[in-house]
Amino acid sequence: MPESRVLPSLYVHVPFCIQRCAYCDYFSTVLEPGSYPEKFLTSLRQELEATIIQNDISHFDTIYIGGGSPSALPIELLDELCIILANFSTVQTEVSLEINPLDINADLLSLLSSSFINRLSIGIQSLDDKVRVACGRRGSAGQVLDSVDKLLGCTKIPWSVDVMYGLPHQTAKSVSDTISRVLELQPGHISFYELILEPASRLAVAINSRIQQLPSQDDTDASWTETLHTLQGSGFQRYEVSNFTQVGQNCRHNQHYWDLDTWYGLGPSAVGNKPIVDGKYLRHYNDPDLDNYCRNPTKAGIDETIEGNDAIFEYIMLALRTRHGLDMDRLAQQIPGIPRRKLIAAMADFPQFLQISGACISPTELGMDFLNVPLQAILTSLHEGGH
Amino acid sequence: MHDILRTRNFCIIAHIDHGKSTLADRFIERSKLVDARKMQHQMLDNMDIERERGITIKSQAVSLQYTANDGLTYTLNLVDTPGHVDFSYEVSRAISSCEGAILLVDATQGVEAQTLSNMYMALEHNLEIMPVINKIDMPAADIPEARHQISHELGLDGDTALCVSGKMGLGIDELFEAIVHSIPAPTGRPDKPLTALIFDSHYDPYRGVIVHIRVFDGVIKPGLRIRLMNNNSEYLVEDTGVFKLSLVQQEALTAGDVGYFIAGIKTVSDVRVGDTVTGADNPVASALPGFREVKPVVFSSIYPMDTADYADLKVAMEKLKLNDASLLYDKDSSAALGFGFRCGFLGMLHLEVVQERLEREYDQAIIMTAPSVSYHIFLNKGEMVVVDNPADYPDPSFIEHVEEPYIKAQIITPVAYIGNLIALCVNKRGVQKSFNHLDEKRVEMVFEMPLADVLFDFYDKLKSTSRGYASFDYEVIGYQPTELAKLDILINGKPVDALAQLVYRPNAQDRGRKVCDRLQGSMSRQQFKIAIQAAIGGTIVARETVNALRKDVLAKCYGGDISRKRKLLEKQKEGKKRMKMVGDVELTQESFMAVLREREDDDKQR
Ligand SMILES: Nc1nc2c(ncn2[C@@H]2O[C@H](COP(=O)(O)OP(=O)(O)OP(=O)(O)O)[C@@H](O)[C@H]2O)c(=O)[nH]1
Ligand code: SF4
Ligand SMILES: [Mg+2]
Repeated sequence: MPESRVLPSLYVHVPFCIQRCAYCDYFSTVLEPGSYPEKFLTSLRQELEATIIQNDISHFDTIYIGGGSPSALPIELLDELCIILANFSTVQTEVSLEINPLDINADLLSLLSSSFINRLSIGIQSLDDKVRVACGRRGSAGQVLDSVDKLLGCTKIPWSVDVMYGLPHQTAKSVSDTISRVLELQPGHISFYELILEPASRLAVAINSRIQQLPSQDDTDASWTETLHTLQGSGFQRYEVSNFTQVGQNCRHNQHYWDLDTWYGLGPSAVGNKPIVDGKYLRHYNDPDLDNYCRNPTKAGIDETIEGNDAIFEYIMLALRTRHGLDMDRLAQQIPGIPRRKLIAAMADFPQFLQISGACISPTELGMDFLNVPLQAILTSLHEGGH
Repeated sequence: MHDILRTRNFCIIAHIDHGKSTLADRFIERSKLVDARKMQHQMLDNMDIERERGITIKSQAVSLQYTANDGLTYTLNLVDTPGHVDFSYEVSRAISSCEGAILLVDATQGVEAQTLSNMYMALEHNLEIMPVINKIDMPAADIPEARHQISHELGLDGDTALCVSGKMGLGIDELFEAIVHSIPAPTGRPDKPLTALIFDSHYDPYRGVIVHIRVFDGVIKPGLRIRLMNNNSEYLVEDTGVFKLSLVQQEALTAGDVGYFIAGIKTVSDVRVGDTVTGADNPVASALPGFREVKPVVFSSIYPMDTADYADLKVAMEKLKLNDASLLYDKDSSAALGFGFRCGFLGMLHLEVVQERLEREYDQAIIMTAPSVSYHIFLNKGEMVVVDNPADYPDPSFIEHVEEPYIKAQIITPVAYIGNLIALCVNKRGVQKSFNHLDEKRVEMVFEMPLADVLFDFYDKLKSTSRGYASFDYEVIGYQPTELAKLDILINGKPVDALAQLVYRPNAQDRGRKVCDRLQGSMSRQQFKIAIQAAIGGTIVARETVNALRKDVLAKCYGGDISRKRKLLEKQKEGKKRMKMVGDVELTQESFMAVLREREDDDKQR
């Protein structure tokens, strides 16, 4: 057995929001009287304990508290959650908390000042009121900026910001305005990504019935190109398809996802992953059902084994999303018997998208925008059969 | 041993959709060839394309046992034939294996174009023709009118014609009896030297070439050495038998029989439909007349998607040819597409069927070039060259004049659609030659028009314009002067030979525009902008651009998104069309086909 085992990571899904955004299809329920978030917390504690015991875990390399909106939890519950989780962290553990700026208040600030949380992920998405209204995103741009100012005045915790493009009414100008105001706040890390119209979302219904309209492709393309330019000009490195960082502020937690390492997902709808024997992965999906979860937090999910071509493909797909790319040697170690030559041949067809140097294949700047093209070819070559 | 006097060989012929295959079902059912449970509609239409399109493409023989009212059991060899104009060669082959024909007439439609032309074909071969009125169960059936048309338009006895409903099974027993009584038994002699006509064949992956024959004289059985008369190749017969939906072994086939033999034939091209089989030790002196020569009217080239698959494609073509004698082909080559085959087809539907069969039955990924008719090009030097391939089009400065094939199109239609049909034909450069009232409700119109213009979508438009009521038949009548131009298609400035077409000059610019537009619609975006241009003799007459590939939707991909993202990419891969690199541009098979298809809205724009 190869040693130097990587420590596992933990994702906690808090399934509550104050208000649902129109584009979102994540599992979360509106926090209202009768939601009983304390029941959720009790269940989560049970699931965590079972996970720790079953897998003989002492502590995690990274912990990510996301959702939903964990910042929307009543402060005493959030506090309790932090205390529970702190048992399984060390000073080295990266602990991230997702924050909706509208949830920032004195209580939250005081919690942050004394907790083990050492990374914040702030969901701004857009600072254009027209866009925010069209998306049903809580609060105005002004409120968002005031809250974030308040936060930054009180804490030195490194933080990241989420910004979206391709939202209704969002022109390239609107995006670039948001980006420049966000940059004034000097975040260390930016996640910038395009709207995916999820069929089950309210926005999809509004678009299909022509109540809302998405920006043109030209607009979204321009939004992307301009932002890329701005961010690179402001010292950000694009270290993954939709993630940018100042030196040393990479998100370690996400890197574990992209390396297909071990992580446990707790809470309804959370997903976990674990390499098992022979290059297979055990993927665990918790049911997106809060009642069910509260009734039976340790049995509310299903497992899937990802193996063979599926495993190889996922590994490659994720690795190629990152700047440092795919290490064929590590892949061969993780998944024995990969059709190495065939894979390299398929990737060599796209010199403008992928650069190959020895066992390492990484996306070019352009390649990060067009990954689906080589990925399709890789899929095809994997399914052609025969090594 | 069965008795030649108790054998009846007959085919069912008719205009398209008059119910031939449905009637064949009833014959199969009554003779209990299959379990009632296993009975399907149009049993004999067993190819996927036939079932999907609801039409017969191949003639299909089946051997039935029927015990008649006289207490004797008869062997009925029936052949179901197609009705579509493009497959009339199939009908002619069926006819040559029979002594009689049931000529079906749909009681709601009456006599139509193919009713007439198939009847003439049967007459030429001296077949006993039994007119039968079908679909009498339908409320719109007009039996007296059908009888009248049979008498007056076909010159047969309409008054005694039997009335049936193939669908409901009405009148079938009477029809069985009439077949036994009216269709003559075959006349061959088992003691004479073997003479058998190859009327079809097919390739079976396990058993090799299976030859379908009608034995006229003599006996063929396992162990006999036979000779194929066209090239004197000899083989030892391994198996003989008859068609009963599957192949059923039988000790021998004797004079009058219809069946198959297998003889370990390795060289597929030795087998020619229309050839005569005789005994190697006791051969007959002269071969049977065989079939009329196939006269293809549409030409197109077939290339393998991947140039490395040429050898596979060649084998597939040979095997397909065994089962489709009307397919003619020759080796061809293209700068853009490598080696392939220049093919001749009997019509556009035939072309589509060949394309589909190559893809489905033989698993070939192919590209077809724009179809063309064959032109007579008269050169200044006084010489004439026949050109059906744009690649062979001579330098225009050497051309004195050009002639193109014309057809005589016969259209029979209810009066309500006359106006629209005339407009359609005139639009296709047609000139009306005659106009005849067949009765109060129907007229017959004859047009002369260039074949090139009916190739693409004429048949479909005729059907849609007349709600399916007009029928169409045509024959090529000769050549007439025309103005021709070669339309080149350039992709990123380079002409792609496989996309070139020969077109009627006054329509060339219009056509160039449409081709560019359609190509643009069919091409997927690539990493760079692509310019599509149409040119005539070096002058650009139309252009379009395909914008560069759009980047991915740059979405996040965290723990919960991974499986979903993989599945999405897999789904996209399934949807991805097959690609062909032409220079540095990827063309899909659809791009090549797009060049051919007229679009619905093309007409509305006019
Ligand atoms: N009502 C009624 N419909 C019939 C009858 N015979 C056939 N049909 C229908 O007519 C259509 C064409 O029948 P087919 O048996 O496929 O006709 P076909 O002559 O074999 O057609 P092709 O082989 O394409 O020339 C089908 O929808 C049949 O169900 C009949 O006796 N009565
Ligand atoms: S985007 Fe975030 S805040 Fe909005 S509904 Fe989804 S989980 Fe809740
Ligand atoms: Mg039929």
